[in-house]
Amino acid sequence: MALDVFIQTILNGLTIGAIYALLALGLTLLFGIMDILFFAHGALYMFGAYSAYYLVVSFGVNYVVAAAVTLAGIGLLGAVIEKVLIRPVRGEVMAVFFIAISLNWFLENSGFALFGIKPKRIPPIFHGKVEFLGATLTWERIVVVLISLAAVAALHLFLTRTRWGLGMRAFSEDPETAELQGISNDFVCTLGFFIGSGLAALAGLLVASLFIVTPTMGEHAVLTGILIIALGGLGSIPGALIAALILGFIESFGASVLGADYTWGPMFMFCVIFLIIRPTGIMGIERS
Amino acid sequence: MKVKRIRIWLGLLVLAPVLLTMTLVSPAQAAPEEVVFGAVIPLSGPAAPWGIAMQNVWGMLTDQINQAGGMTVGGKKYVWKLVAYDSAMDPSKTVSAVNRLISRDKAKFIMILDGGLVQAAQPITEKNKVIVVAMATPGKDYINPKNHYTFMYGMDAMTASFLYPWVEKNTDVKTVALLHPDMWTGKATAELTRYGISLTKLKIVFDEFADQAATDFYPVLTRALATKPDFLAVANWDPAVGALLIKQARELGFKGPMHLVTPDIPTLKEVAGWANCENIFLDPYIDQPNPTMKAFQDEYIKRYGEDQWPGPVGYSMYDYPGWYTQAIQETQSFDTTKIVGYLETMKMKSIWGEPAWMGGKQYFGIARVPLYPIYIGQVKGGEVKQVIDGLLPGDL
Repeated sequence: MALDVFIQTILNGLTIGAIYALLALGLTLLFGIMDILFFAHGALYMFGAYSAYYLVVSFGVNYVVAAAVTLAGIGLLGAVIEKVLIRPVRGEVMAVFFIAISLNWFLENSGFALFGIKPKRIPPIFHGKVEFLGATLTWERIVVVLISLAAVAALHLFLTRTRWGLGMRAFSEDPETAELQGISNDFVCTLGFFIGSGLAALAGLLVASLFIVTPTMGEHAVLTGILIIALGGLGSIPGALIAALILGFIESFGASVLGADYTWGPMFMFCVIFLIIRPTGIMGIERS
Repeated sequence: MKVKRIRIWLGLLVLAPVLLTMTLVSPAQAAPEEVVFGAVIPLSGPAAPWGIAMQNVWGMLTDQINQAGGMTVGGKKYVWKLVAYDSAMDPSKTVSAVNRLISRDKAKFIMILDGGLVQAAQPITEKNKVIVVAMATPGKDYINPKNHYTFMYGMDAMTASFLYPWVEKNTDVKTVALLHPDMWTGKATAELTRYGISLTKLKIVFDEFADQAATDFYPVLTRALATKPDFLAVANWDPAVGALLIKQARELGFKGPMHLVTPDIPTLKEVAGWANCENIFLDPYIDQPNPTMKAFQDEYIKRYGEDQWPGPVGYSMYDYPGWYTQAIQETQSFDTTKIVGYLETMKMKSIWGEPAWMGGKQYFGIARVPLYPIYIGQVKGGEVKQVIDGLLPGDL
């Protein structure tokens, strides 16, 4: 493999991994705190992308303002979903599972009716590219990687250094004892959905300028996210980041070295073998 | 006695208009009978945009045919009725839907999206002599003498057979990289593209399939561009995915020409960025849409909205409701064996121009692919130039 191709392959893996980490972040939070595999995460990611698209392209809103509005709006939507649909069945695993899947299908098909069949993309916000030893990386991708890493770090700090974050972790350990300590379970769950949905929207609005926005873009995203949280260790944010990067590099090297067909196959095989050896994932812990 | 006579006369006075109306109403003025045209297309999932577009086009065109009087066969009036079922791009759902169309809906004509799904349905449709319109790229797996009742919707990637000789003659291109979507359409496109290149001295330096559902094509393009091709063929990807491939290939430094089948210029401008489209071959492309195309597109947008317009591929879906209506009218029959025989030699008009006819006997062994004038454009200096302008394909 020529040096420029090798460098390009590494850069590709890093970018893909960072994007995967962002996709998985919200799912990781919801699973880590509430034991909920929220399949509708993909639909919220899609809505985040469309929200940013319409605000920037149709209404001419500044991208940063559009991002803030989108994050808040989709976060609120997530909070409403939690209060109206999830809270009444909280604790009933299968009910939550089916509600999440049904909601995902409903939102995805609503996407066709609301947004039409034509794919869209936000025009590039950052122009130009950087060349390094024959490899290229656009400024768009660099910014997405930096924001992804910042989001992972910010979430980790939130959960470990803030009162609300510690409250959420206490809830995940033992909801009853947390309630006795004055931590409102309802508030924790609503906040969790607000943040998780906001993270889905963040992923959507960032990739809306890199890739294409379609009503079905969430399907692939949520499956990738589930793979990452399983590999990273259910509920572990550092684990999700490491898993995302590993899968990003496998995808990149698989396609570049072995062939375009060797992306999902090697990724799944790696996950299966790893989880057989270490079922808790990279940084997961045994759960009772 | 007098009262009884009055009652009889009164009764006749009431009945007379009714009897008169019944005698004046001919059988032809009774409600026309419906003829089902079935559609097994994706109405959910990632391929739903294609299926929805097909349903819309067919729905609109069959309504127009029906409003213009429908069909008259043996003195009796018939109208089309479109019955669509969701294949979800799944072979077992496709087979179930086809069975339902044939046994319950009595469909004699069915359109199916995707060559793989056409193949799944063919054992049933051929046995029942149901005409299938394959909404796919022509492939020898399903277009062959064993499948007497299966037709293509259009030429699709067969145009590659004419593009590559043109490229060899008119450009400095010597080497070609082929990247196909990992699905039946991609497989059929690969066969046709390789065939088109085999007619020239161009060398294929890369020839692989990639997942259509991939979000990021950088890894695959890195591999393709490492072979240093002069020309990159990204034919027959979904138009938006094709546009994304163009954008990412340009970001990775590829400056050469590319080939995109079923392009949509607004999508190209939005997804790829028009500056990245310099040197791209757009297939099909017609710089002056004719009045039929304009009227069709305007009516479609009026009915369904701008956001639902599928782009130039919509023109390729236009012809066959009219062709099958014509064949039924000319044969005065719904016997599909007669209709098939007629279609093989029928002189047709296409939205792309005249003449049009069923061809493909040389390549496929059976004439089941509509051939019509070819129009290909190339983006040069920000404008699309017509480089192949109404070329008659000749038989393949």
